[in-house]
Amino acid sequence: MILDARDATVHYPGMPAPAVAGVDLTLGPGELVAVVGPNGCGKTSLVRGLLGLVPLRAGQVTLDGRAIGTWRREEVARLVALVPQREETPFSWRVEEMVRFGRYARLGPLSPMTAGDRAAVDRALARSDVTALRRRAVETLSGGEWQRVRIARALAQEPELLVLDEPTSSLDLGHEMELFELVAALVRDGLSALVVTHDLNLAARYSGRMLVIDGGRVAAAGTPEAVMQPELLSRVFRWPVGVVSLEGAPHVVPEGRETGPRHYS
Amino acid sequence: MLALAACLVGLAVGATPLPLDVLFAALGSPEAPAADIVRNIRLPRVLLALVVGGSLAVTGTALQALVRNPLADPYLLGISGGAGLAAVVAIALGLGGVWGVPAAAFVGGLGAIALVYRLSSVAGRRLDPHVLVLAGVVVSAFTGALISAVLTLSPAEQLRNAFLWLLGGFSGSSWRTLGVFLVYASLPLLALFAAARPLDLLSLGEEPAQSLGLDAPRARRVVYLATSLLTAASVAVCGVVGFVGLVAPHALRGLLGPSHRRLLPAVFLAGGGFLVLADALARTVVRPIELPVGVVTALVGVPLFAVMLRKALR
Repeated sequence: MILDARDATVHYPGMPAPAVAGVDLTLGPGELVAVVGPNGCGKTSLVRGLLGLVPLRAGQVTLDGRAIGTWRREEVARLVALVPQREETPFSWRVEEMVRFGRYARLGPLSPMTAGDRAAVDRALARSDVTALRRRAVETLSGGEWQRVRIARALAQEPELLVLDEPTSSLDLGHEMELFELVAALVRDGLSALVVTHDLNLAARYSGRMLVIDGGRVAAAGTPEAVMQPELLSRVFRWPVGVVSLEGAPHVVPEGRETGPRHYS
Repeated sequence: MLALAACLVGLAVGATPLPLDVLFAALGSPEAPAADIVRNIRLPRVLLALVVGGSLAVTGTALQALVRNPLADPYLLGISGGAGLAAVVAIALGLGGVWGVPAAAFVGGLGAIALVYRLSSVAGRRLDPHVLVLAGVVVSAFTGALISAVLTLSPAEQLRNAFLWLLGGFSGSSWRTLGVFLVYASLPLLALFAAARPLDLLSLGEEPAQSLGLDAPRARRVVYLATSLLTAASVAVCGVVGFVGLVAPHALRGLLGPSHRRLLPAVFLAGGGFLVLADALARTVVRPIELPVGVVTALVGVPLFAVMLRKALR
């Protein structure tokens, strides 16, 4: 297991209730696990807790068999790469500089980039298909290009686990598909991935297992077929939904207030 | 190159302007006609302005990465004001001295930055860069008021000392002041130059920096301490001089890009050259009276700040 969480609980100081409570999650090599749930359900806090970015109030998380609290940040960064949900920088970085930051955990503050580091940056740029953009300033990129650059930066870390927090929330359909296809291809090549997303249908289509979070707790966990149940999803998302099967993958269809349940042949 | 040219100008101008040949002769031999002025008065003064300007510029650059806002500057964030207040209190109580004033200024600078930090984190858990600058302005106004109060309540002799110092400028410079400044400033300068890559990552924000492998809280503490020390040392030797930390990085980021490994050394030289020239102007425009050097830097800095603010809000 790369990542193993038992009863993981995150409780921010001064808050009445925990943001995440009692979450169990395991992730092995070459697995893609999707974390879904309504806005504010604790998905991002769960990611923070799993990566040791906030301390756990209870339970434990081990990375590669070792408790997360005993890892130094640069050790974590050599094993796990995170693409955070939002990111803004006031400065005009070039794409190539941005992707080079992925090598920080292997360089430290002072040593220069080696040929090996440069090769890793080139591979990461190519894998995410942003080599042609390498001289561009990041503020001139489109939303889809910017996401691919941030994935390239994560790949330059040469991680075993890639964590994406709502990677497609600001992307149109084409860019969303491009991104999920890229992540699926990386997983086929042996990378593990944890993807937090709003998109139930793409989560069901691309992931091997899904984790439904509601109010900081696990509402359901298992294969997409096991988790994509109309009653469960209607309850969690507070809206009536139906589930149909499309090309073998479960597909959620929200009902309209006026029209009621829709029927598909 | 430009910094070197600025130094030559700084050495040449003054109450008695010196042609370059006289200047070089004086630098070359202690027996030359102008040797005393050049070697004992102007050279330490120009070198002090160079390293103080460089330190303020490096401080501004580091703070801009830290708070992720190109409008940050030790003066605008209230660090200079806090350092100035503590220094005035030390002088008024007669606790000054060449070594004591910088130490008091350091405590004041740290106090001010802690207060600014508290003020700007009240609203939410995250530091909003705009609120941070606003908090800095509030703290500056507050320290300014307290400085006036301390001055009013001081005995006449201390008042004169404190007031002269507060006006700022390099008129009291000597090899000794330069030595004191270097003792206080070398370590934090080295620490910031060594933190070039961490500063790059800090400018991306807390979460990206951490996930890329930076111990962000630790890096942030180093930057806070080093910038407070540098500001305090600068304030102690030349009073409160603003905007150097704003002008130099703004001019160079466009040319060199934001990478701190390239930016920090360049900004040190540019800020140093800028302050040497500002000091040369301050000495000469209304000769024989010397303007406080902070007046000159503000005359350049405030319009630039206005332009940058417009750009930032657009």
